Amino acid sequence: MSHLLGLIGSPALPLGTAGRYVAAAYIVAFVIVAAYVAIMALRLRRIEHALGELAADAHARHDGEDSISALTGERLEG
Amino acid sequence: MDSTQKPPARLLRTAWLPVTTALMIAAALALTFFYAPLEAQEGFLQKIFYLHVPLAIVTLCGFVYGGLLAIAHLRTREVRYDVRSYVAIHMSLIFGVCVLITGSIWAKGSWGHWWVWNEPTLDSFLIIMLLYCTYQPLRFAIEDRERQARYASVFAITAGAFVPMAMIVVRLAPQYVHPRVLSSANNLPAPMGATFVVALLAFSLLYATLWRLEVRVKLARFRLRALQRLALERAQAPLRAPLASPGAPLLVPSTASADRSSGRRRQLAERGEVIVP
Repeated sequence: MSHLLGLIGSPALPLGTAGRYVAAAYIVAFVIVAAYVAIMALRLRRIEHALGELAADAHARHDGEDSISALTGERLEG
Repeated sequence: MDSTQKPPARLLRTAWLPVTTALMIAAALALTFFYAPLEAQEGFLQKIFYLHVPLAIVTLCGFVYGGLLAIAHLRTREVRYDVRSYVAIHMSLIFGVCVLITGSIWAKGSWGHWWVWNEPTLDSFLIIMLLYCTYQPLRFAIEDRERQARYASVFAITAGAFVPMAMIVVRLAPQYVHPRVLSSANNLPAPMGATFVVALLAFSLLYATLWRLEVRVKLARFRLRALQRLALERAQAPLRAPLASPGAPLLVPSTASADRSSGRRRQLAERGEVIVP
């Protein structure tokens, strides 16, 4: 602990060395947030895809019911 | 979302937060690297301060916010508060990982060590993170949705109350190498203080933006699952009724629809939901 307390009073790191640490910290934070946003975008795309499938299914069923009612209507008339 | 709103109004309502966040982050980065003066002892390395400290503050506030939302859930039993609490804690965990990594990088540059085990600030933050790492396993170990939400809320409240207590205890600790910059207003010169405030606002807005995004994704998934269940029930309904009551009149409208019904029945049989005679 004492050698760490001694380090606090030591002179600043040169820009070349400190710059690498600063760049690493900012890049890591940016990459983590970007990865999170990418995962969320992927999930949203899956939800949209599933919603599209549901909508297509609902349309197909709706068309099927229309044709059934048309057929039964014809039979009743006949 | 109100579907009757005009598109520009809707766009304005949904886009203002991400746009403000992006502007604030750009402002914070500009102030950090072009306005805030170099610190006398650490020099350029101290620029990590404007990333690490705001992230840590937002993380801890997020954990407490998750606890407050959990209280709202236990009081009202509304699922939306449980979802919001879960997302608040999830976001804080992600920000917390950033805090640990950026802090370790800063410690390596400043102290020459990635981690100092007898430093109370570092240890207490790690303990809080490890505590919250048990939140998700605890939550998803319970199958019953209502019980899961209730237990998770109790956890979120208890752990959320632990966070400020841990921080108060840390500040009372006598020996540390971790600086106490925010203990007095005189510790930061005005340009550094202004940069720090802008960075804190920027990361708070980032947290709010991502929190809102995830809440929307989660709620959309819940609605989708409900729709899928409804669609499946409707698909089963015309098949189950005649199977359940053999005496009921069976309408066979056409060959095409009968083929479709038998196909649907086969699909349901594959899932074990009906028995094909």
